[in-house]
Amino acid sequence: MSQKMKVAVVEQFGKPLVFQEWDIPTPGPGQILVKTEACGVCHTDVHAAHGDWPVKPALPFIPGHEAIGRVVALGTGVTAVKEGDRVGVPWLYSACGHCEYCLSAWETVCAEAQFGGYTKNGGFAEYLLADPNYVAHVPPGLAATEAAPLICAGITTYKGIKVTEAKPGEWIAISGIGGLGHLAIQYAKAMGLHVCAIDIDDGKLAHAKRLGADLVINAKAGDAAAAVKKGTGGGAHGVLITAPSLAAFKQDVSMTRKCGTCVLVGLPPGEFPAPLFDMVMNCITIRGSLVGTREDMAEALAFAAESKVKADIELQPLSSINLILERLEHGDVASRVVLDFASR
Amino acid sequence: MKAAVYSAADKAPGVFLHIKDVPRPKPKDGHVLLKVLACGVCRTDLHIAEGDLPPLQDELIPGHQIVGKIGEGGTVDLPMGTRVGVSWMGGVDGTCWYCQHGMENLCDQPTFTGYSVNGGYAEYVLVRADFTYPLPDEMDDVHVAPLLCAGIIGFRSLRVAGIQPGERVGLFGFGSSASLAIAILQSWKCEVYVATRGESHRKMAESLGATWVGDEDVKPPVPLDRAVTFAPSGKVVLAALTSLRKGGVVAINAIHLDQMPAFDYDTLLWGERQIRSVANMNRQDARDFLKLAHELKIKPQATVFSLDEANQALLAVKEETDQGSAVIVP
Repeated sequence: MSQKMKVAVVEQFGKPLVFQEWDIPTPGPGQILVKTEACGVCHTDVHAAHGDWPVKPALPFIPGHEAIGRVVALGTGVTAVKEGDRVGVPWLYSACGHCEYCLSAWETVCAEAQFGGYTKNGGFAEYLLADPNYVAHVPPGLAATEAAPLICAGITTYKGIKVTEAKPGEWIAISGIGGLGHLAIQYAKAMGLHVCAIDIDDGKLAHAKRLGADLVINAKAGDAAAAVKKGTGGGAHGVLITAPSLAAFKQDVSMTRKCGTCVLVGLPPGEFPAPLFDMVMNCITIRGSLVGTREDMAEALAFAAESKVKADIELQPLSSINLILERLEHGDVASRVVLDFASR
Repeated sequence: MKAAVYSAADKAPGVFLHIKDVPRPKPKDGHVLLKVLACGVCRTDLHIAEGDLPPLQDELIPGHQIVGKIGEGGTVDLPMGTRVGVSWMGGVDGTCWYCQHGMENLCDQPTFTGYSVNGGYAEYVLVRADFTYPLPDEMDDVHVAPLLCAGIIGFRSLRVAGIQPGERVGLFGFGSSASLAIAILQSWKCEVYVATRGESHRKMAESLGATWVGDEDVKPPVPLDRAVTFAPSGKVVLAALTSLRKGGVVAINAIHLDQMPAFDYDTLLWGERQIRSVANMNRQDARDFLKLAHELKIKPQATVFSLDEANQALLAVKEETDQGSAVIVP
């Protein structure tokens, strides 16, 4: 059989992706083959293609960890999905299922975890293999292009909000109203929280208002931490930092309410000095959060299926991938770019 | 001043309280004297008046959902004329093991408004200043009064049940407290399943937007994450328990239950289901709930009675003749 598929491949770190035709893979035991309908493009794809992080993927590889598609073939022993199911192949491609983290619903930090579009070939391709036990199940009524950004950007912000432990009726401050932040506002409102949005762009803050933010603060206009403390009566119970800026990190820790939690989900290169005095005097927790578990995934998608959350998306063909990655690198993407495999 | 007084020694059939003149309370350190503007009638008042709860003193003025205006003892923080609410917890010792562990609702030496001290079925009431809650102008006397116990303790029940946003929650019994809790649950985006006896209660649950409404002994169509019972009946607790998924929690919002029937552990509780009781409330529950109620514009239905009609008000609660809450306006 001469079954071929178009793929975009990283052959060398820091170089543009190369378009090639590869054989469509055959699912082995316990694997499934997914025909890609859409795949979101995440800033992590830029880091992957550049080899920015300490643990680098093995070359050559296909990036993309926001792939949505139909199951078209099953390997032996697969019962969790059936042909025709619409699934998502996320960053958490698979995990061991038996370590202390997997057993306590923290499979996201499993040491044996594989990562989509990083240690496993991802969705910048017409087909990809996936682990049926770790795919996202896309609820009916949700378009592939709408679901794509939710299986990384969506779940990341949703889980980040959860681990702030802010309760309904309490305040959450969301710093950075871009691809992640605009979803975070919608999730937070859907979870019954009061939302304070912080950015340095008035246009993004106006958008935040439209999405339901109760309070918006331009960090350029003065002391944002003081403004949040005033507007929320003592600081936000939870703070979610999506802004990829170290300056934002420092400022955002200071807007956390006493005994509150400030959650980091962005990964700007570098380190930031923790404001020790504030942290100790106010008993503030700073915690990191990485994507989310399968349960988080189901919940995050359910909100979208109920029309409570909708990503702003820009559709592009796979052939534009190098231009998109360049734009992401330069901060020139207003929303989430989704590769649409229906348009070619 | 005029007051409605319970007397342990003097109980005529059909009469819960005696309307009579009593001395106006004298100001005391750390206390404020309130001119009572409204006082909600709670089922607990009925339990007191019927002797279900053991009397703590020979004569008592019940009432613990008090809206009043500070007449004497005002401070910088609570100036004269401030309109405040007072609830069931009228004071704690602040030093016992529970108070020091964030559980002042379980204080070893608590003051219960309208039970261990005189309450609001009167023209004036003396209360501890640090157990009053200033009320926003938008919340009027009659409609905020029922929030002060039914609302706050209903809210605490949701907290004790450990409800998370989006969960499936059962409300078993649908009186005043549950009808306030449903608004909170909706703001938390929960699916609310209501099981209650009485057509009028079911109609009210439907009109307030419950996901599902059924009779008390009908099992909801899906397993529930959490349930809260509001009826003073052990059978209802079992009905709630039967409706839970494994690991689910039922919280009992009742100060008094008729009795807990024997039940089958293997099918009803095993699977790490939990039964929790809800006892009293703490001041943070009150502040958080009143803030939320203000934001959500929660406005209970209320029927107004005069102080002279205090017995009729209690009867209305006993016989569930009125929808919504009875409120005494002296």
